[in-house]
Amino acid sequence: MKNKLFDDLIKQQMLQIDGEVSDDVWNKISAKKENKKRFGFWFFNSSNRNFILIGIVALSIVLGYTIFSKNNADISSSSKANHSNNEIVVSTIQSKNESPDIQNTDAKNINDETNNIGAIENNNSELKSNNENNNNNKTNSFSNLSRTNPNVTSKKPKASSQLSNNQNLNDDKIDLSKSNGPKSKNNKFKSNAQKKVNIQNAEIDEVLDDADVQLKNNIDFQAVLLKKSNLISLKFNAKPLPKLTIPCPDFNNNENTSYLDFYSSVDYINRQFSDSANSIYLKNRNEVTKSQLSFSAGLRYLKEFGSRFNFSAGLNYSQINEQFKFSKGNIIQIIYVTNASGDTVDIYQTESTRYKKTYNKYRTIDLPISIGYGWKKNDWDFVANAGVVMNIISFYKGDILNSDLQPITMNASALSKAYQLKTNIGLGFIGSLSIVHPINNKFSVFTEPYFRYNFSLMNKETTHFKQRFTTAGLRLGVRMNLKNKNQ
Amino acid sequence: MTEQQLIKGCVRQEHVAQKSVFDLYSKRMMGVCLRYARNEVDAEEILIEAFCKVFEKIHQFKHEGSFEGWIRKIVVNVALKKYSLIRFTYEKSFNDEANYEENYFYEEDSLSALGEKEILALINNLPDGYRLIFNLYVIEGYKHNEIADLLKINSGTSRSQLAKARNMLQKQILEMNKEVI
Repeated sequence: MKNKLFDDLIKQQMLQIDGEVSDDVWNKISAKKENKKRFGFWFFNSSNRNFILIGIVALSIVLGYTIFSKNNADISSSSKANHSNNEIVVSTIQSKNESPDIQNTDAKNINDETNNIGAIENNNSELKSNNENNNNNKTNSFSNLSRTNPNVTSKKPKASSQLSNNQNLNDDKIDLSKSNGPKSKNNKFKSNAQKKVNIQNAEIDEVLDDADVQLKNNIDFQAVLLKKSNLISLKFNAKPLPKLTIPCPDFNNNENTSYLDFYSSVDYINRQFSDSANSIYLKNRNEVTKSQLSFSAGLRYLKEFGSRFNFSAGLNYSQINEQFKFSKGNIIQIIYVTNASGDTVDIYQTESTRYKKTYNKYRTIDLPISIGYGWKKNDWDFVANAGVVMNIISFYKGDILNSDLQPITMNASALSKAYQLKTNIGLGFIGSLSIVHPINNKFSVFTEPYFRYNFSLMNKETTHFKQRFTTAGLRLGVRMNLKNKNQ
Repeated sequence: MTEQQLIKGCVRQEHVAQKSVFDLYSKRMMGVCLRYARNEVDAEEILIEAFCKVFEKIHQFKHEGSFEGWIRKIVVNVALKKYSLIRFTYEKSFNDEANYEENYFYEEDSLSALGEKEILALINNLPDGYRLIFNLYVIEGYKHNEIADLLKINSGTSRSQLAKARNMLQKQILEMNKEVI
């Protein structure tokens, strides 16, 4: 028979063939469609839903806390900005006896928004100066003392009060009642005498302990005072000192930092197999599969709380590799050779082996949540972490043995099959030790030996064969400090 | 409902229309699945996967050919994908030293004496690679270069696998006839 004729006959027969379809098939299609329609994939399967909701709630809490912390920081920043306007002005002013008008006064820089500074001004509204020191031409007043930290706010009233109380200007009297803001520009002062006033008060140093020490020494204050109808006018030829900034102590050191970690790891897998019913199957399963080096990767958000603790949550992808090598020997084939009349003229036997080699991949996407306790040694940070890992989805590719000990494709969608694996393996425990070393203020590198144990088995409850993969691995990663964006 | 109405209903994801399409074509498509699959369980899996894909992608049907042909193409593609893991180099079901080029002397009656189910069983017994290529070439009518593209093999492999599949089938038919005698 020619090949063409043979092909045509086969085709003719095969095109007519219809298959029996069980009622269950449509139900399975409907179920599969529904699953896809719900969320595109597994998301809201009843078995996953609780875990996902817990994960979402946990992430929301972390994000909410982060945003709330950020808002507080913003409020502090704006407070800082306000205070920076409340400058105490100290300037060196040179006055000329002959000049009747004010050339300049730094009093305009005193912002009337600050009551505390207003208190200084009120306390200084009447200051006595020594008329006998009229020959001195120099007047030192306050120059800009910008406050750089909002946290000094609570200190200010005290500082201001002490400053004003301790300014000993002898018998000279200065009326600065109109010295607040730009209005002070318009004050007319007339100079009868020039006074040199040395403010010598050690308490200024105590209060403004971080200020430039030289500032105090340079407060060599010369003022020309004129008292006329309760109005003192000063005639200045001012040369302001360069502006000095007083760094204020940081009262916010305890603010907890948050980080973002990116990592990948090399994993070693310990496979645990058990079979309650069929020891032959277990033996064969062990023989045909071999564990291989696996890997995982992920990212996580980490937030410090307290002085030593942290909370972290993230997303982890892990792939467990396994080699499946199947061979079935001694396949005996008997060949009958017949002649045209159909009589057997020869019989011979051949022997062959069937081989199959594939690489199985057990993939999971998980949500690890853990608490850490840290300590520091030199430049190294050590953090011991423990927590749970919630499986979001598990999917598989490759071959396993079926109950007849023949290779069969792993397919998690075929729910009816007894040898199939779960699409969600549930909760597990995860423990690790992070060793972190900073590179700069923004980034650190870390290594992290870790261990993962899944509480539930990978197989469905109906199967007699059970398997559990326990992972031990070494992560390497980069940690980004989310607070030091500008450094 | 006409076929056009059914298609429109499926595009709108109407359950009734989808069920009607399934009822209309499932048996014929199961026949296709049975030819490509190793066994009935696998065939059922292919059928489920294929119909899910049909309902998912039905908006892409352009009414250029027959609807049945379009569904059939999806079924074949799903079947090929299912067995795409198989590497022909790793699988040798029979000793290659056996002489598959041997000429067998058949009579037409010997083949027609066999029923559809017997022939189907013989095809199912073919190794995966042989079975896929035999189906694609003999029954679906693909050319060797098209099969080579589909399965990512070279056309020479397709030719040799087809020859081996054909010879294996002929030999098995011969044996079956002999048993009957």
